[in-house]
Formats: sequence, structure tokens, C-alpha cells
Amino acid sequence: MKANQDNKQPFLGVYDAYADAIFRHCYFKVSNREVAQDMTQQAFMQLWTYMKDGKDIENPKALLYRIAGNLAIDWYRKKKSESLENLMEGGFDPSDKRGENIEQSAEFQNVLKRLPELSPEDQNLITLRFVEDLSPKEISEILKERENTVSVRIHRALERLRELMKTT
Amino acid sequence: MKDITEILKSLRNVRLDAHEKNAMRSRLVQHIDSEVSIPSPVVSWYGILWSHQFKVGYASLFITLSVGSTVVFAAEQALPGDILYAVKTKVNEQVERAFVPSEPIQLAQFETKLVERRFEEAEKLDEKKLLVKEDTKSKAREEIEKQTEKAEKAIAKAHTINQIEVTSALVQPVAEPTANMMMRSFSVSENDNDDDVEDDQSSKRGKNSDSSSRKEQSNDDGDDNDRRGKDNDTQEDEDDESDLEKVFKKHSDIVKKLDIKKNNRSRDDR
Repeated sequence: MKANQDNKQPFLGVYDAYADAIFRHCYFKVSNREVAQDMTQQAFMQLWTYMKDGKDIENPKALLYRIAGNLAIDWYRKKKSESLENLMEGGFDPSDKRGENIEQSAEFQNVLKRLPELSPEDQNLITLRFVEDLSPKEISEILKERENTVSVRIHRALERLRELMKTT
Repeated sequence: MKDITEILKSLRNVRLDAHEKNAMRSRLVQHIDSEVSIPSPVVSWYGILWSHQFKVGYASLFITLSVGSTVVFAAEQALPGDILYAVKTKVNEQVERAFVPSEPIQLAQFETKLVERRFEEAEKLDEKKLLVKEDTKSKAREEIEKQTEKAEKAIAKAHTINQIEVTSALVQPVAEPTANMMMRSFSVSENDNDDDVEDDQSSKRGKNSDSSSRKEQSNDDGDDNDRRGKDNDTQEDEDDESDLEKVFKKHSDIVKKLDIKKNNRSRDDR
């Protein structure tokens, strides 16, 4: 299985570059560090399955986001209500506040609390665009939709989040 | 309050810590390396049987079976000149033939039954006024003649074998009545005094085999048995009409209409 060894280094390169982003992407969806870690690992394993088969992967980043998105959808289906409860009751892991001052931390907490109130699609668009700083073009590749459509939807999702934040 | 996009950017601080990241990395490396050592995935029969190719196979098998059985059933009603007629004679009847017990007498009965069937088809064509068409007429005639030839061959074979069986039955007289019965049901006329040419022709073959087997009898079994063998022939003589001839008599109007001469071929052979 020489091909496996040939693909190993590029794969680990992708892991080093995107592990944090994918973890975050999962974390915002599941609101649980451990679940998000499991999901991240699963996403990379799936990417590996593609890579070792020698499939031509044009954009591993977009593929990873797509895989993670699908894993999250599966997870939502299984325990949608539970995740919301955890979020409302337990709040977030304090370890995420590393290096933040208190004010930032409060805003930070507020946004995190509000994000799951958005529809999964809106939440996805917001995190990809503003947290991960992906361009609408990149997002359109992940979501397999037209760039224009994506731009319009990002704009609307942000408006909805602003509305939510005002009601605090 | 900061702009919301700024706050969202700060969420980028959510990340795996170094330890978590390294641990996950080594789990992935382990996963990759473990795959290297596994020579091939375990082949499950369940997986193979439900693989895409097999599903396609099942679907086509199902379609073939359902289309095939529809065709076969539809063919049952086909008449000479129909597209499905070949299916009827070459598939359906071949299958039926395969289920006929291997006794020559039963095969002869079966072939005679098919002659009857050919006549019935011709009658149906006649009812539908299709026999006026020359090509349909010749097809119907051809089918009857073809089947008659098959029946004649089967009868001749059964007859020859019966003679041999009768011979052996003479050694064991208990079995004799059965052998006689079988012979009678498929006897070919022995009457030479008739001016009927057809009878004359059909009896030729029967006679030849008779005489040869009779020779065997006299050689093997002596005078007594020879006389008993002649008794059999006498019994046979009384039954001067074979099943095949009965069929021809029954459908005499079609025989006339199609101008079928039963022993055309044997006459040519001669």
C-alpha cells in the first residue's frame, strides 16, 4: 500500500491547516467540546478515505466543511433537543475564553448563545463567513450554490442575528 | 458595543488546544498506518449479494422472468403465422416434451397429441377465415406435416421397442398382457389387403421391424414362442387403426382443405 504512504503527508498537511477551523465549525453546531472533537476526527477520517482511494480532491477545505456539515446534520437529527438544553443550562466551556477580557467574554457568550437560535443554514453561513473569514465564493463551493445566492443569504442571516442580539 | 462582525471574528479563538490537536493527529496517523497493515477488506457475502451490480442483476432477472413468463403464456394461444408461434412450438412444447416420461410409447402419445393440437390450430385459423391466405395455409400445412413426421418416427420407435419388449415378455408370460396393451395402443396397421395407400405405407415400417423381431423370436425361443408371437400379430391385425390415423380421420375436413397427404415423405424416401 505505497499509495497510502504517498498520500499520508499531504493528508497530515491538510489536518494541520484545517483541524482548528473544522473543530470550530463542529463546535458551533453541537455546543459540546468532546462531541465536536469526535466529529472533527470523523471528518478527517472520511477525508482520508477519499484521499487514499486516489480520488481527485480539488478543494480539501470545502470537502471537509461539507463532510463536517453532514456529520452535524446526522448529529442534530439524533439529539437536537438535548444539545439545546445543554447550551441553555450549562453554557460554554470556560476554557474557550482563553485570553479574552471580561467585556469581550460577555459579548462572546451572548453571540454563542444566540447562534444556535438561528436556523442551521443561517448559522452555517454566519460562521463560515465571519468566523472563518471565508469568501462568498468559497462558501458557494462548500454549499454547492451560486455565489450571488450565498451573498444575499449571508446578508439576511446577519440581519437576523443582529435582531436576535437586540432582544437580549 | 462592538459590531457584531467583530464579535463573530473573536469566536475564532475557539480552537483545539495543542494537546487535543496532537492527540487527534496521532490517532489519525494510527488509523492510516493500521490500514496499511490490513491486506484487504473483509469480503462479506451479504455485501456482495447486495452490491450495486447484483441489484441490477436481480432487477434484470425479475424483468426477464416476468416478461418471459408473460410471453410464454401469451404464446400458448398463438397460431401459425403469429410472431409468438415459434415460442409455442420451440419453447413451450419443448419444455412439455422434456417432462414426458422417457418411455417411447409415452413420447409417441405425446407427439400424436401435438398433431392433434396442430389440427386444432388449423381449425381455429379456418374459423377466423385465415386459411384463405395462401401463406397462412401453407404454414399450417407445413406445421401439421412436420409434427406428423415426428409422431410417425416416435410411433415407429415405440413399435420397434415394443416388439423387443414383447419378445422378452414371452420369456416371462406374466408381463405379456401389458405388452400387448401397449402395442395395441400404438400399433400401425398390418392390413395389406386394403386398397388404402396410406395404410400400406405406414405398415411398411411396422412390418419390417416386425419381421426382424420375429426372426429373433424364432431363433431364440423356439417354435412354441414363435406361435405365441404370431398370436400377438393376429391381435394387432384386429386393431387396424392407429391413434395417429384417428386424429387424421377426426380432422378430415382440414386434411382436405389443406391438401395434406399423410405419407408424402415416406413415399419420397422410397
